Amino acid sequence: MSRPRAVDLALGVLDHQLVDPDGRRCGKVDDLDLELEVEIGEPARVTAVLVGPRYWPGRVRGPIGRLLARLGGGDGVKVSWDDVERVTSAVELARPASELGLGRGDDRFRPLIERLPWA
Amino acid sequence: MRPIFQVALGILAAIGGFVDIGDLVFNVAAGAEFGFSLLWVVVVGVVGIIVYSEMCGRVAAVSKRAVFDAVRERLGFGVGLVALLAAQLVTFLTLAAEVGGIAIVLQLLSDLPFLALLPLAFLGLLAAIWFLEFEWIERLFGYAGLCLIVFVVAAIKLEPDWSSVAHGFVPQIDTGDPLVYLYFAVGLLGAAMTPYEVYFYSSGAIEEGWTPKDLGLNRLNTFIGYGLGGVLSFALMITAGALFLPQGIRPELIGTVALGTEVPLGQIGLLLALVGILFAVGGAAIDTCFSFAYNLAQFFGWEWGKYRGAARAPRFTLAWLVLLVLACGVIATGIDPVMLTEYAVIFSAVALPLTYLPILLVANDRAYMREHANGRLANVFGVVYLLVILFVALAAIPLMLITNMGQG
Amino acid sequence: MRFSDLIDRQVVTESGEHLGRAFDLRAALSPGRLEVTGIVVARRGFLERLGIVQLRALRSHTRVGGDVVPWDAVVSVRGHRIVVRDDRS
Repeated sequence: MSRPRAVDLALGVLDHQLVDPDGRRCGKVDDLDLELEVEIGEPARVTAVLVGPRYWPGRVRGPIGRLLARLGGGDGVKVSWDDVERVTSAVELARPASELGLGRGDDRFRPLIERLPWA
Repeated sequence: MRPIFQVALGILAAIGGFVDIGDLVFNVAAGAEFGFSLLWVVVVGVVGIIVYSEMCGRVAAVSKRAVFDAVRERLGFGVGLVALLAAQLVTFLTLAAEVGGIAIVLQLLSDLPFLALLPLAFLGLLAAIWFLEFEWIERLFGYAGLCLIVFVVAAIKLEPDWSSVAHGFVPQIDTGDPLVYLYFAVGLLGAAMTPYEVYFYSSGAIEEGWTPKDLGLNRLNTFIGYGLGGVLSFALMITAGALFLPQGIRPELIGTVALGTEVPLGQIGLLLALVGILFAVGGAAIDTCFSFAYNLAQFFGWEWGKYRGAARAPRFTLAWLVLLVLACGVIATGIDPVMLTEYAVIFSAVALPLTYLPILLVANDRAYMREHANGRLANVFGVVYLLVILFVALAAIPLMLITNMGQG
Repeated sequence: MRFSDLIDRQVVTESGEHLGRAFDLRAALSPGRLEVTGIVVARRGFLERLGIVQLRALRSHTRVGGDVVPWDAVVSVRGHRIVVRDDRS
């Protein structure tokens, strides 16, 4: 794939599933960081994927967004676009979720599940 | 494609698992109220669930995306969240209704007090979910649900006026009581196309590791499995129409529903009906419970799926556990499960478009679906049913209010 | 700047002509790089976000056609608007 493929960000990247190389689901693309540099005439790039409740107020404005962020725990992770391997129907990462700080929500609840009988 | 034997087993499970508490309540009530004249609406509903499920199954097998992945991707975070809240509310109501139904049937089978049976129902469901593999849960409850075929036998034994029955398959409207008729029509459609069924079917396809090779299986499951499952719904309505309508009986209890088989077939009919209802509704409860967890996990990007194991999908596991406990709690308050079912079905009808549209969009997306995207026929049906669903969604609550939940 | 900040802004030319709302960004994906190439603009709003601008759009991950303003025509993104040059070939 040497020629660039056209993709629309809201349609093809935003809100898509993040998957690490082990196939682990580790969040959704909640927002994107853009490097614009419009003044200099440099091309604009996507520099990072933003994941987590911290970035929800950007998507849902006003008090509802802030409430949602608080309900979700307020965490957030910035994943550099360098760590994105490929974009298919999901956004596939190049490094494991744990290395990128993703999937912590599940990590937090795992001990509780493991304590259940017959788990 | 998998061995033919396995395919047949899967289809049998689909048939036995087709009926849930909403179908039971509304098909029997409709039969008791309007005889056979709403049968055509059931056909519309069955075709609708076939169309919608086939699309969901195909989307899941090809793009590995389940319903709420598609909802979030196409509607975005804000609107998608509204869809999620609506879906979860409706799913919770449905689960509570199912759990209530199970407890009632256990009571009819055992004569033990209701409140003692609720923990039994809870533990039974929990044990099934925890210890059985995904496919085996569907098989167990699906095959036992096939006991509901007793209603087909009962319908035949009651010797209804078959030309009247045939006439019921012709689209019509009861001019004597059009609003109540429409209310039941909406309820029947809502019961046949209950949202959690497609959330579950779509996620189940991913649980079972479907690939494009399974598209044939997907068609068989939906076309034949749900098609024949629809026959069970017909049987419920015909039995009610033949037995309850002439006597002016308004079935408000699940026990009355089972009477439909006891009168023509005696004790064995009653027993088979109760066992069939127990497992059909029990299976539905598990599906509903999981749907809640699937939706939440898929919207927020958590790991999900029974196939992952509880420890690898902790939030998903907690979600269905907590919901099951809450649903039992709701029933423990003494609320009438049949009334709860009616509300659940009507609100389900309202929630349908929000989850149907994203699936229709994703099913058309060539980048996801490659050569398996919707063809013209699928789109004709898809768009027609979108319009049907929109009409049903808009009409549901007004009709419920105007007709006072079908009381007239 | 965040994507969510840039989206939904009004797109106007230097001479004040309103082109519509920016409801998406067209980008070019290559290994290790995702570069913004244009702004997808429309007047209509919600339906666009669903990807129903044109029937063809239903069949693709990107909207085929649609009004795309090339990114190099952008003059500034200050304030709550995106200003583009009058000539946008």
